[in-house]
Amino acid sequence: MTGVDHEGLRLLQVTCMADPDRLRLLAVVLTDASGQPTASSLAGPSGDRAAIRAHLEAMADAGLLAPLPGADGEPAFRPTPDALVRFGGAAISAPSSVHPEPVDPADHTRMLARITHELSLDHADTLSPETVARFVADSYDLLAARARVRRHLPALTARFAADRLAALVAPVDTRGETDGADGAGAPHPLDVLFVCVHNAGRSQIAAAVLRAAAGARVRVRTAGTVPWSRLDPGVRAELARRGVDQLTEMPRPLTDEVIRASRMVVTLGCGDACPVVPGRQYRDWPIDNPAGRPADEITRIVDDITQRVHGLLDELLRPAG
Amino acid sequence: MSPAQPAPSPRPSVESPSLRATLSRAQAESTASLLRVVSDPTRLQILSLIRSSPEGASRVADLTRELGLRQPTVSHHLKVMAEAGVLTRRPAGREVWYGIEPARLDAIGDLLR
Repeated sequence: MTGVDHEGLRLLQVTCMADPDRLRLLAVVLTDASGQPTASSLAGPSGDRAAIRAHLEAMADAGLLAPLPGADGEPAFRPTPDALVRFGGAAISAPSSVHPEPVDPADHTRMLARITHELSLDHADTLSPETVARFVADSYDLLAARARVRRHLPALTARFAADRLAALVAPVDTRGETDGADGAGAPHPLDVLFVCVHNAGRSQIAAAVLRAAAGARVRVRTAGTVPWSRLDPGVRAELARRGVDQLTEMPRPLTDEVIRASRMVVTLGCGDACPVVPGRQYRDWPIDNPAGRPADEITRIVDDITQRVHGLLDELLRPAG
Repeated sequence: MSPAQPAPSPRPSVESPSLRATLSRAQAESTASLLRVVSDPTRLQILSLIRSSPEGASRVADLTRELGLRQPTVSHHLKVMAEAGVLTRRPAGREVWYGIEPARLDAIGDLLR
């Protein structure tokens, strides 16, 4: 990416987020249980769906949300790493109806209290506020143990904790029934987990490729057994060249509930370190670690993973029996 | 559905996320207005130059030279950002040094990444 492009994008992002509605909307998206909400799911029965859709699309144009094609034609939107790092703290610390005073983004205790409150509302029917608070604190500790930059921790914690809580309450789907067989409304997406050692290369490549190919039909999670603090720069550059770098996420550790919530677990070079939970399907892809390799080798590794991911998607979407 | 099973897509019935987002509009204005002040290519460049300067502060003359802009233009941008609490002014003799407000340093740093 050239300097001009980078500066142009930066200006576009700042201009886009100089809007209180969008800041609040980003805070809601960061703590969304699905991780990839639609305008309809955010609006609920009483909200202004068209206005929310317009905000989401403006944020997508600025590279702050990544749109995913939805099964019913309505796109889902994932927060991008740029959104998390540049505006996550501002969004979470911005005053809300429940918390009329802004908090200092550097005051992590109060930032975590905000996140806990937001997530407790989302899970009011299923989880106690104490459980939510425990998961938020634990998620923060897990990320803080390896973080090199502390000030992004609250925003990263919001996304990580929201993902873990969603996994905790998800109906466990081990029989391959994905169409809401109990008649409970919207189809439950297929849950796929990619695990590698550092969550900085192989699992991120697989996740970005699968998200781009499957859209909102599949919920993709990633984790590392020994996560790094950021993506490998060479991998990020190669994914940017292919237009899917915005579908990655900040590296995170492997936790028990995301394994349990996944129908398919794919390990990439760390099969031994990933606990096996009965009833889940496992794949182990022996793929070289791309970290620090020359560009042409990274290209080859991404090609290899892309081919495997497309094969996996065909298999997942094939009707059972 | 058995009562013991958690609901598949838990959504609060009392307050939808969008409602939370709309209600807070007036209060979230303060953060947004900060972003509005810096959403200008020249102002972002000025912040970037000040942030990367060895002293963490710059004079109008330094910025004018580096940006290739007229001095009144640069002074105007500095004045707006100082009034909005983005920049601090430190007079030293006949010169004024502009630095980034310490409380805003991290937020500005994230924007300039």
